[in-house]
Amino acid sequence: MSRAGERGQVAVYAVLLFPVLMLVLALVLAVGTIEGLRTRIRSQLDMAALTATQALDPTALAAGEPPRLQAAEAERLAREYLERNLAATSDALIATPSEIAAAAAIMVSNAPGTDPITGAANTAPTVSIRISAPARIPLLGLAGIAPVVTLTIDGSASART
Amino acid sequence: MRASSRTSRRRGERGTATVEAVLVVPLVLVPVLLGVVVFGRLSHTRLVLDAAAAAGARQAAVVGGDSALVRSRISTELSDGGIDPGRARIVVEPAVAGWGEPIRVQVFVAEQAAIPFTGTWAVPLEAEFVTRSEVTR
Repeated sequence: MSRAGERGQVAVYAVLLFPVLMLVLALVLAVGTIEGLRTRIRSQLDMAALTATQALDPTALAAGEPPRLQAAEAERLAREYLERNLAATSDALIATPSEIAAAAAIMVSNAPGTDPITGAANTAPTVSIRISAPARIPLLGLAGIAPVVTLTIDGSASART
Repeated sequence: MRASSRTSRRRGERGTATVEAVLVVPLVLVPVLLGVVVFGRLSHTRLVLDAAAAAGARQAAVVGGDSALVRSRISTELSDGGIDPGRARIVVEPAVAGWGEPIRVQVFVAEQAAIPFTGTWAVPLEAEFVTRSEVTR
């Protein structure tokens, strides 16, 4: 009687607890991978937005006025440098950098106000970017979940004097 | 008689459980937990590398290419993050960039993931940013 009971315990330990432990471990590592990737892509977005703020209107600068962004040129630069920077994480992404950059929402605002993308209060000319990047997370596949996660990420940069 | 035979059986099974615990804990659980720690350390290195490469890329845009300023900026970021800058390889190309030209900054560190009872793996880590020269030449 007692022998059967203890055998049952060992079986529960071996058959149930161990796979559960491994599953939890795979999920922990998957979440870590996702957040790490999100952080990397966010800094790529920041770099693209920062580069786009180079598109300052030279006539405003020459007249000694506050800096003003050239909207079309800033948006072009944001997409170009988004694509160039996303190339560093393209292994983990399902869409190509140029597809993600082409589909990105980019706002160039010169007037102060609430940023439509980040929701922050803009006090200077600002370029803000939002992308949707489908990422491949193989660890989620190990845990029996579809291994694709779509990351939606914002980034912005302002031109200040 | 009956009582003593039951006691001996129980004792025998207790021994089995102890042997299982002695084998499972060091061979499975400890490597798994240490693996999580090693993973965390590698993630930390990754983040520091990214921050260093981003700061280096900004500096490279301002000076228009490669310079001692760019490299010292990256080294400072790395040592602030607890990574010996001597272990890092820095690539800035092109060395001289005119206004509006792209500049690529890469930082490489060869890390090792060593998990006791399991093995050691070489983990090459890399961070890369592309920026645009702000210097008129």
